Amino acid sequence: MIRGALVREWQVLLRAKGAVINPLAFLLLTTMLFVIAAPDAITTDEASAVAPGVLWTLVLLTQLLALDSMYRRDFDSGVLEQTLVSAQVPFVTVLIRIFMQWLSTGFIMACLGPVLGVMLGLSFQALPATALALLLGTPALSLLGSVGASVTVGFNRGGVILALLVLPLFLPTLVFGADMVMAAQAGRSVMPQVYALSLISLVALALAPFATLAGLKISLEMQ
Amino acid sequence: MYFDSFAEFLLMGKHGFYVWMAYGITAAVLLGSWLSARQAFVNAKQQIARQIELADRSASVTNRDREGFDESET
Amino acid sequence: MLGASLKRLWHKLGSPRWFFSLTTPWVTFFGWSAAILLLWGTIWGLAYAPADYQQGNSFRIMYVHVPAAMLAQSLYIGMGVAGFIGLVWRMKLTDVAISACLPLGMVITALALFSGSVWGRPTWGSWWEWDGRTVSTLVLFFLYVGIYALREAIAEAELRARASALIAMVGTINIPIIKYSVEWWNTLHQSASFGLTQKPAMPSEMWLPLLVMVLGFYCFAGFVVLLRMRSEILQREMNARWVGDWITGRGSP
Repeated sequence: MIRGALVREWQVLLRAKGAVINPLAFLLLTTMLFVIAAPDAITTDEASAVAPGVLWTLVLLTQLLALDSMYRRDFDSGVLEQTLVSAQVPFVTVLIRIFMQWLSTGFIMACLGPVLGVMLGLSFQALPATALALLLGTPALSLLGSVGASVTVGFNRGGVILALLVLPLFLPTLVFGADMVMAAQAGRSVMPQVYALSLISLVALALAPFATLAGLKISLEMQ
Repeated sequence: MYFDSFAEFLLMGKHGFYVWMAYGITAAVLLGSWLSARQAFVNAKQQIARQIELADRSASVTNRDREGFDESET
Repeated sequence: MLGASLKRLWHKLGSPRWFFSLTTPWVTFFGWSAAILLLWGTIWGLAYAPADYQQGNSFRIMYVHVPAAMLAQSLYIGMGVAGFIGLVWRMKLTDVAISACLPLGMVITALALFSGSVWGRPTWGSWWEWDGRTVSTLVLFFLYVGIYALREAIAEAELRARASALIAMVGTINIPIIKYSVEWWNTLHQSASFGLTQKPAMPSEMWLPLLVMVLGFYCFAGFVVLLRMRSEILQREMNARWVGDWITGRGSP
């Protein structure tokens, strides 16, 4: 059952390449914008002080963009309702959807993150920590973002409300994620942030699928 | 009383502007919240009273119509 | 036996009519208590409490700022608890509670932010500092706005209730997490923080008026929330017989 769902999700992903590429293009573009707009903040001999924060903020905004399409297409076409009704364990279905969302956005951002960080002036010694921070933090973003996406999927212009609902949920991950990169740049230990990010992602893993299911049920009844 | 004179009380040792601004806005906020809530309550009552009146009036009109019909018969 | 009567009480709580009749004296009680406590606390705090050694008289703003900040958080947690009860036990009254707490909560949070800023200017020199407390309160304000926007966006009452309940619950769980993470952030990036962390033990002449003000604020909140809840109940039960009887004075609920 799980393998079937995974395969299905993978096929959906292949067909809707735009949903994957667009957010990443956004991330690249906005990074470039920042580099162009504030070159002095970046091109200093010491490591850039703003790079960790800017990188993480752009990651958050990209995730927000990607969330918008997370359930929308299936919601509009009626597939979502069918899937949830026919699923033996809806919880698993939702979890797999979130996992694929993470794989197509958060995971790729974790891989690209160090490169973008360098563009923003991050020092090389911080790159492994950056990748790890993004790897540990982006699951939380996908999980928590899914909760907001599930409630707002039926809204006409739900993007702003989605941002309003979801950014407070992202805040702890942002704090510890950015701090982890800063700590690595400064040579401090990153272990506390590793624990914190992992803890947040685990708590999100425990709670978000249920909340997402509840949100989807509400949204589906609103149609 | 902590202050020696009313003038000192108003001045608050050169912090008067800030202290009174804070308390003033607080009073305004609390007052506004109360009045807004009260208005909601009054509106609800008025709306219901109007609805009852309309219902009564339409009921009595129906009765009057019926009476008129009987009279014309005799 | 106790369990049975508790269960009955719990079920009664779901009845708007019973709630309306129960809270009729409470509104008066909370209203007057609030007025007396707030007046007493304000006069005490403004005129009789001793000035702070370091801050001078500006510290008196604490007597409105701290209660506002406490209330701001309590009201949101109240919405979260109501949301939880509403989703689990399907009590309609909980949505009435959420809709009643929302406007007051938003305004009180704004007041907390404003009064904190006004307190900071003469005391620590700046209108705004990004520290643990200010960021937490600002996020709390956005949590309120989120629920407000959500309610505006959903037209159907039952779904609006459930969506608000869900988001209120999620937000409530988020509050301590945010608090902790922002405190962490603050210990590393402390600029001119508001120094409330280095609070020395306050003498009783200073914190007793604060206690009175806190009680006054909470009574005020009880008053306003109950008043709004009763208005909402009247609206929702407009066509019920007991409402008509109560309005025209023919009977009480």
